Amino acid sequence: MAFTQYREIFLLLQHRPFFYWIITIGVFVLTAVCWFLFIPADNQDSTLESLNITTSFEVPTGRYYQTDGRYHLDMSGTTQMKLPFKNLPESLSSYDFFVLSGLDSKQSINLFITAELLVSEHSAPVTFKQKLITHRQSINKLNEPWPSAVKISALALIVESEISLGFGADFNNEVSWQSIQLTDSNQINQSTQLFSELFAFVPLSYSSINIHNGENLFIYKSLLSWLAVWILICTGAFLIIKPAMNHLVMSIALAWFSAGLVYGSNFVQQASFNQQRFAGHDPYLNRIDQGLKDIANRIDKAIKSQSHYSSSNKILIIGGENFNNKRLKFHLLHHNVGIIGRDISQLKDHEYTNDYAVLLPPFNEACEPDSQNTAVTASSVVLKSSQFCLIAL
Amino acid sequence: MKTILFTIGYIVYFMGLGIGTKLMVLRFMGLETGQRRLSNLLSHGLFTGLLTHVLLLNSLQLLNTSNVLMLSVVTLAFLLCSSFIIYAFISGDGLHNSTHISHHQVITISAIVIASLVITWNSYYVPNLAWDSWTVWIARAKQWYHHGLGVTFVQPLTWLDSSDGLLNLSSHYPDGLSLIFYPMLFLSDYLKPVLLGFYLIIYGFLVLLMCNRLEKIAAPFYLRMLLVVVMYTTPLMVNHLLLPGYADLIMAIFILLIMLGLLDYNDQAKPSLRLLIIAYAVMLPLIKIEGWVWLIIFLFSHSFIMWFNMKQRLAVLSALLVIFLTWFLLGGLSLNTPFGPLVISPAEINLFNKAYLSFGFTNVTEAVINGLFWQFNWSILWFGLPFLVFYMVVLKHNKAQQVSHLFFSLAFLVILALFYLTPAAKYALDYTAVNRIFLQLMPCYIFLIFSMLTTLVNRTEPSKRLQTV
Repeated sequence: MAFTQYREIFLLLQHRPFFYWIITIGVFVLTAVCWFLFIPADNQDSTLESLNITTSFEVPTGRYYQTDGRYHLDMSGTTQMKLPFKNLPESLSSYDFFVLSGLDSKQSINLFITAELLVSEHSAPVTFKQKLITHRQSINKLNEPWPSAVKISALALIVESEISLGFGADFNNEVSWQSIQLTDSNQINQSTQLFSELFAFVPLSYSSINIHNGENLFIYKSLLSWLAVWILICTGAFLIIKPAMNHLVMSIALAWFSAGLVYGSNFVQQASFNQQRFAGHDPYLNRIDQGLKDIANRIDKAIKSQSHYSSSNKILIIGGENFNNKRLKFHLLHHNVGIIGRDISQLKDHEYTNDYAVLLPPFNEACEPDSQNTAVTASSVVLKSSQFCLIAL
Repeated sequence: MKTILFTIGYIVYFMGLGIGTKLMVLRFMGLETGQRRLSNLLSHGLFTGLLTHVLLLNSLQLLNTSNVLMLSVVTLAFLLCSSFIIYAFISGDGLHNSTHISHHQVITISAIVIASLVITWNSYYVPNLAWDSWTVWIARAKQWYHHGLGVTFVQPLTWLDSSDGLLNLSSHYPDGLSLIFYPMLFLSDYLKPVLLGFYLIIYGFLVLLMCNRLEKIAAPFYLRMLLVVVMYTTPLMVNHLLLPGYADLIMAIFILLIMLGLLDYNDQAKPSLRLLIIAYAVMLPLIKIEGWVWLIIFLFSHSFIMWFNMKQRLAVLSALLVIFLTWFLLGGLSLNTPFGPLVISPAEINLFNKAYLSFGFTNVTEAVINGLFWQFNWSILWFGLPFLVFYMVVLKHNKAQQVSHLFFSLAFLVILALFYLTPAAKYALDYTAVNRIFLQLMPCYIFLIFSMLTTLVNRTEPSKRLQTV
């Protein structure tokens, strides 16, 4: 009997890969289960009920309405909205989770909650601000000092458009959700929260693609640390059990795919965001850019119609290297164009012959008849509109 | 459809130029053309074509040619190259060896094509948002397109006082990348779609070359497929494909090409391969200023390993150390020349007021660690670094591998030194540069990791066979 047992173990040992996978997959599943299902020990049996605050905030009339079980916030013509909550109990600190369900938006948005916190009875109030996850199911654990605050007041939700590259003025879509709730950890399912954080949309930063906009990438750190430790365990198991190397490579591939799942989900979200955002498929970066192209066309026409026109005439765009100036310059590159100076007074320092200056807001005020600025005389204004002013130097 | 045709036409132009130049140069020098497999011929043709194109247009810039003359010369060069290729083909020289295409190759190429299509699906609707692309590289190409290739670019103060010269803030940058983009403007005013196609194709050919090289060192098929997956799912590299028009990925491609060239040369020391490596090395400083740094590191690594034996290397290292210590203790070199000050001291470097760099320590550890590990940029890639270092040090490698290892290690250390010791620290701290600079080493690093895995898989293979017997 004993001999047969030993023989069986010996036979099993022949199957090194089998052992290797039993151990490593075992560790993988076990740690994943612990991570996803582990609920922090809470000795108090909480009887706290979730606080539904979907309709408890103040909004300008006509901006917030309900259809098909969803609440819509109309953001037309604005890039930021502060929505102060009213009639909330003062003892909010036991509600340490802020949950936005069914969040949807055609634009890239940032959400924050802000509040005034009193950490102890005698201290001065501190301002609390936390960025919220912009995922369909946005479950946010509220950071310190929220849970330990004695009194919480002036709670507000801030909705703002992602303004990189001047997308702000383009923001005319609505944001919608099913419900907003304040709740505590007992009501929150750990795995739902983790999924919400892992698969939250971290959009590409268009102005510098070398970083991602997500400030809250703590969850990604946890995921990668977990996978790194697992690969280390796999390497240990590999050195002890000595299966063929390809099994270790497969483990590495598995770790790559686990992290890749998160990236893949983000990639798909980025794709659908891009398709909605740039559905028109035109070459302009945004509507501001399109407006700048129109301005460039008008400047081009005005300059070419001048009697002393030559392609070497300089066009100076005044006001520094910001997005608007840079794009206008880009659209005028067929001229001898450049962005110069931070303000209009610099024009006085040089001699110009048949050159032009373009003044975008706020510098175009200098072209107004009642302007105090002596750099621009009424006779030098070639073209003027509410958006810009072209002067001959 | 028009975009696809334009892109393919553009790539065919570079390939024709590259393969034609290669054949002509080798024939002229009386060297053997060295037949290779079709995919290698096309890829190297494409990449040498880029260099030929840049050098050709650089010379035309000197002659201050008009756009029409430039187009005629370029067309003529392409036709000349094409005729030479056809002549070589007909005269039975054979451009490449066996036309047999293995089913592995078909699957690899299909995977690359599918990955490229997925990226196109994500990026197709996005306009040319890449900031550096439209402010620097395309802007310059557009200025040439409208004002002629020969125009000089000047900085703002010079521009205000001068009657000739166009304003371009990046007037000190090399012209290479803009020259590559420049002919695209004759096809369409809106570059983004062609740019996307161009980036995807050259990246695809690079991945194919990596797979071919791994196949040559007997990497199993699953490992090569994993390489394709990694190359197309590393977030930051994919970002540079999604928003094409930056220089870093192109730089990364040429760094890896040099490395692959060296490994090929180690297998078969053919003069044609040596020329190819030199061509790729020349391309580095034509793309970006930091190309000079990579070129110097490459030259050092190459000469250090290839020219000296162990004893001599120690002597060279000691000599370098002595020079460094003397320089450091004496407070460096400081000269006033008729061209301006020349200072190379531990506090600053000033080359005739043309290039200036001051030194000072900034602790950027947190930014570097965040950038390489915890940001959503590299997945688990950098966890492989300790294993790679261990592999480099413990195992015995051939000379070409040693050069690539030394190159990578030095380049890595130089990047760290740059961020810790120079004002570039501020770009590390705001997270805009750490990833971008490391990106330039990324394909090289990934290739080294996969070479390591291949070696390890192949080393344990025999023991596995013994077990099953």
